[in-house]
Amino acid sequence: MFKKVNLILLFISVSTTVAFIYFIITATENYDDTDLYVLEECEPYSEFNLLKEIKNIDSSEIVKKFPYKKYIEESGYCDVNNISNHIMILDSNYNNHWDISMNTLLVALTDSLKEYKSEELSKFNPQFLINKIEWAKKMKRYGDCYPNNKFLFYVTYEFWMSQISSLMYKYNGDNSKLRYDFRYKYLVTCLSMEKYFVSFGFSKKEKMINYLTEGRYMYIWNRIYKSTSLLTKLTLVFLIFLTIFTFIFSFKKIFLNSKK
Amino acid sequence: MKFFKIIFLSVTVLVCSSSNNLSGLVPAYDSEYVQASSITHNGEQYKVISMKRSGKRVRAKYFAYKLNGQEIHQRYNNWKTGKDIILYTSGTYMDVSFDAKTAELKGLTVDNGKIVSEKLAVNKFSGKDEMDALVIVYPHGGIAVSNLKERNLKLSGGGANPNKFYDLRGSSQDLNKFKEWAKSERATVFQTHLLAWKDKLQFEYNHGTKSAPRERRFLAIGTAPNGDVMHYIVHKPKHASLYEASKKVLNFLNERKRLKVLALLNLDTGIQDVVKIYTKSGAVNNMITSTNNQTIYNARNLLVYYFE
Repeated sequence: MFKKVNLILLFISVSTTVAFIYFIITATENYDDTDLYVLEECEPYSEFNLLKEIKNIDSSEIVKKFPYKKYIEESGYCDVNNISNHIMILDSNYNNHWDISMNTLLVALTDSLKEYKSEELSKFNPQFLINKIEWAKKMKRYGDCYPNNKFLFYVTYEFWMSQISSLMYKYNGDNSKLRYDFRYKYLVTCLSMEKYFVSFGFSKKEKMINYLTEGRYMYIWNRIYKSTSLLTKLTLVFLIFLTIFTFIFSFKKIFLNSKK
Repeated sequence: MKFFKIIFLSVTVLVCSSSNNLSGLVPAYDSEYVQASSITHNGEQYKVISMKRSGKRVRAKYFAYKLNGQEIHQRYNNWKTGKDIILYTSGTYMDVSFDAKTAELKGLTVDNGKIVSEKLAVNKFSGKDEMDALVIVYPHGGIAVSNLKERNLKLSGGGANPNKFYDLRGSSQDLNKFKEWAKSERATVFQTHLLAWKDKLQFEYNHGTKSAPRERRFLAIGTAPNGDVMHYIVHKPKHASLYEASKKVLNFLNERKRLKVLALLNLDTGIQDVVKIYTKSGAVNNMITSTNNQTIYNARNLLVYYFE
């Protein structure tokens, strides 16, 4: 037969063990120590001949009929020299820098590339994402170096940084434990350094811990006092009393035993 | 004796000219343009600062960029010297952290041409667009609000095409152009929830989520019956959900103030609940206070109204 005191001790030990196991499972569920490498987004060396590909396409149809898929697969768009050559070829062929050269390559490097990589983007693929971020960052630097083509490079950067930061929310929505993954955190940091902040907010538990560690006791008190129902207040009071009660009983038990 | 008279007069003139905030001597603002009042309407209390923009004497300023590592309160304190401050309040929400020192701001934010946050706000669960109000604070102190859902932002100057409607959400090109424009025009921009637009609430009560009841503060921009452009800071002290409070405040402004509300914007009253109102003589008016005792040191961004 359990005595009343033993029941309380049992309650404390079981609840502590359950909390500990829950914490360990949550913390380790998404642990992955696989390193991330910054790799080239695509092969920079290319035999691709853009002039040959577009020779039969009229200027009125080039944006529509441009061989986007082949361009992504073979053009070596990772290398700024290749892109610069492609701009020159389009400029010399159609003599319309803004509406044709810039616009066609912009569609290729943003919407077409996104569609082509839709499989990789549909799930959290950290190695793919880090390569993409690094590539987008290079685009911005190219924009600073080549002011004539700044529009293309800057908008490409803008497009991919916005896309990836929005996708990070989606990945976290698909698996809320992902935020504890080192590689996810690394990507979030990379995006933050470019001022594309990804934040998932905090759960009520996390908020409470944050407020406590920051010493915002008045804020906690105000929130509980003014924004909770009577039932919540009563439940909290009950839990506080239960905790105090169990501690007093535990100490009494220890001291009584030691005196005997 | 004459010598003492001259000394006395000199001291008086010096005191009057060096301090324009001495109570009762030189008003900090003209009550024809700015009024603070506490009003009860349909059993609800509203604390209201009404500001008339006509004449452009009431001006707005926004701080969000930590220039040279200075915190927002330091920048504000350096800037305010010689200015007649009407009020300051936290603007949009903090992100990433709850501490103003480490927090970032939610949504696209630009301070005087400097980008603070590059990304348009998206929902943290779905990744879909949210916070429809894009607030532009101009260097001359004017405020314009664009409803991002309408995708029809118009820009002038800074290389922008004045005949084009810019769609910041749907086009990376337009977003990039807008940022270039903001940099060249030294514009100040922030994003927040657009609660009402053209006298209509922009959201419905969400039965699925439980919005925390709390005190609420809004910035309302609209037109008075006489055609004056008015800016209102409305503080609703009684705790309410965002939907309930927005509905009541919109109703209050429409009925009691007969204001045609162009935009009703939410101001942060969460952990960054920073607010201070001044009387027309420059003293602190305790009509609206931070319920969580937050001071300006907790501000990650500040919307300031001043009088010139």
